[in-house]
Amino acid sequence: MRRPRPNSIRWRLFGLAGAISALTVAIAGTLFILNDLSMLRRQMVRDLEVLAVVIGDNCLAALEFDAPQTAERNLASLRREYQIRVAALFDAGGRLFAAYRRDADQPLPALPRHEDGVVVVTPLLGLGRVEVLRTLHLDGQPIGRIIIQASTDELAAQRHRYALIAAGLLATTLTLSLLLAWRMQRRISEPILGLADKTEEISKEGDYRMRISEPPSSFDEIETLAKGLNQLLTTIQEREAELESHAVALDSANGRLRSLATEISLVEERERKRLATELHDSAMQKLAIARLQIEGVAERPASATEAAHDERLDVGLALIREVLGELRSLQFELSPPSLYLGGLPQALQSLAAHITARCGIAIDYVEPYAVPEPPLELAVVLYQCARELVYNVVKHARARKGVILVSSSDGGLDVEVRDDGQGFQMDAAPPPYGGSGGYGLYSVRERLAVLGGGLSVESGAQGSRVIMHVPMDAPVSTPSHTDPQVTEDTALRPLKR
Amino acid sequence: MSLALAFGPLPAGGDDNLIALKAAFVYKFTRFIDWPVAPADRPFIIAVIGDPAMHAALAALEEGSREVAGRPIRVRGSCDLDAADACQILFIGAAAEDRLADMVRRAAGRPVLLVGDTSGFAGRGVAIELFRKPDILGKREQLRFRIDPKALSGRGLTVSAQLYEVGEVLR
Repeated sequence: MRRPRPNSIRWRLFGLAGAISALTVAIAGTLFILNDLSMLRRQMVRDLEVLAVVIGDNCLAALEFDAPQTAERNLASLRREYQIRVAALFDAGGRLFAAYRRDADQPLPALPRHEDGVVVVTPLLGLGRVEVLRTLHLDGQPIGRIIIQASTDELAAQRHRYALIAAGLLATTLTLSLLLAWRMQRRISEPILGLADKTEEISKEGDYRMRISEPPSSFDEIETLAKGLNQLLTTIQEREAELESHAVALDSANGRLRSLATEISLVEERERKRLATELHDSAMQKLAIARLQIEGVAERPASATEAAHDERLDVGLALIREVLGELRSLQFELSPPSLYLGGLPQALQSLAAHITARCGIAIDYVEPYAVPEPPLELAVVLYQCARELVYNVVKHARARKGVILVSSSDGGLDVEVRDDGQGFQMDAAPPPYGGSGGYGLYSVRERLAVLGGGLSVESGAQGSRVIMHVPMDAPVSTPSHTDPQVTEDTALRPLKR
Repeated sequence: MSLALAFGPLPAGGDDNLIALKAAFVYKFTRFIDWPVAPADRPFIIAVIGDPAMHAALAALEEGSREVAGRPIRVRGSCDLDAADACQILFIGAAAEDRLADMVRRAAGRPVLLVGDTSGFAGRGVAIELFRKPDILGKREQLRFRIDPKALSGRGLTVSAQLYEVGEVLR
C-alpha cells in the first residue's frame, strides 16, 4: 500500500494538467464568445441597415404621395423582426410621417439631429440598443428620414446561451481533461513514485541487494534514473562486500596479532625460564662454588696451607671467569652488540660463529653479494627470527651443518636458514595458540606477516630450508629495544624489553 | 405656383391649389414609372388636352427646369390629337371626354401614360385617374389616384410597385 504523500508529484501533475486545461478552455471560450458576439452584433447592425434601406425605399411613394397609411403598413412589416422595437419615418420637413412600435407604451423617437449612421448605445457585450438612421432620397433629393431602433435582447440572449454553453463546455472539457490527465499522469508519476517507494524501502531496511524494477525501455529520464539507482546500489553493495571483507581481514589480523602477542609472551617466558635455568644451573652454581672457595681462603683455617689457599683462589677465579664468559655468551644470545655496531650481516655472522663454537654444529654464514642494510628495527626482527630458526636447527634437526644465507629479491631482503638434518613434518609448523611446539615457526611467520613479508618452508629427509622475506620498506614500529652500551658492565645486564 | 404646396392633404383654399396638387402628382408619377430609354436631348413631353388650367399648372414644371431621367420637361396644351402622339404623358381633362375613346385608341401600344381627373376615366383606357378622397374622419379631403393596370399593360412602361401600394388599383 503506497503511503499518501501530501506533495506527491502525482497530485502536482494532476493539478497542473487540470489548471492548464481549465485555463486553455477558459481563454479559448472567452475569445470565441467575444468574437461570436462581436460578429453577431455586426451582423445585427448590417441587417438593420439593410432593413432601413429596403423599408425606406418602399416608403418613397408613400412620402411622395402623402400616404402615411401605406408607410405605416411598410413599417409594420418590421414586426417579423422581433428585436426591432421602434421604427419611424419623418418627412422632408422633419415631421413624423409614420411610425411603428412593437409595444404600445414604447415612446416614439424624436427626429435625430445627427447624421446618418449607426448608433450603438451600449457597445459592450450587446446590451442596450442599436439605432440606424438613414435619409431617404428620390432623384437625388432628400424626401425624408427613417430611423429604426432595435434592442439587443438577441445579443443578450445569445450571450446567455453562450455562457451556458461555455460553462458546459468548460465543465465537460475539464472533466475529460482531468480524467485523461489522471490516466496519463500515471505513466509519468507511477515510475517516479515506484522509484521513491523502493528508495525509501531500501533506505529504511538498509538492504542494498534489492533492485529497482526498471520500466520498459523508454529511453527517458525515468529509465536513466532507475538504471542509475541500480548502478548505485550495485556499487554500494560491492563497497559493502569489500568493507565486510576488510572487516573480516581486520578481525583475522587482530586475532593473529593477539595470537602473536600470546606467542611472543610464551617465547619470552620460555627465554626467561631458559635464562633463569642457565643462570641457576651454571653461572649461579659456579659463583656459589667460587664464593665458597674464596670464603675458605678468607677464613684462613689453621689447618690450611698456603698452597691450599692459592689453589682455592685459583679455582674461585677460574669459576668467576667461566661465569663471566657464560654471561657474555648469554648477553650475545639476547642481543648481540654486533647487531647495533655492524648491522644484520655481522650479527648473523656472529650468530653462526657462536652456534658453531657452542653447539657443535657447523653453521656457515653466506652472503653471495652485498645486500642493502635494512633499517635497525627491521634488522632486529630479522635477527630474532633467524636466531629462532637456528635454534630450531640446534634443538630439533640433528644436523651436522647448516647455512645462513642472506640475499635480496623483489625489493626485499631474504634470509635463508638451511640444514642437513632430519627435517620435520610441515604440519608441525603452525602450532595452536599458546602451544610450545611448532619449533617457533608460527611466531616467526606471524612476525614476518606483520611486516608484510612471508615465510617459505621446505623440509625433507635431506634437511630443511626455511626462507624469510621482508620488504625493505616494511612498516616497523620503534622496537622496545634500546641500543645497549656494549661494555663489560652492560654485557652482564639483561636486555630491556 | 410651387409644387411644395401639393404635399399633404388638400389645402383649404380654392381650385388653384387643387390643380397645382394634381400637377405635382403628375410630375411625381414620372419618378415611379420608367419610360423606354430615349436620347437625353429629346424632351420629355407632357401634353394636356381639355384642361387649360392644368396646362398652366404643369407649365410651371417646364419653367422650373424639371427633368425626367435627364430629359427636360416640355408641356404642351393642344386640342389636336396629333400633337398628343409624340408625348409621354397625356393629361385628359373633363372637357375632352368626348374624344377620350379616340385618344385611347391612338395611344394604344405606345409608351404614353394617360392621366385624367374625371371620375370614370379609369376603366375607359386612362391609366391613372386622380380623385379626391375624404379622410377617415371626413373632415378633410386628400388627393388620391386610381390605377388601371390594363391601361398600363402593353405600353412598354415600367410602373413601380410602390405606386400600386399608394394608389387604388382598379380591379
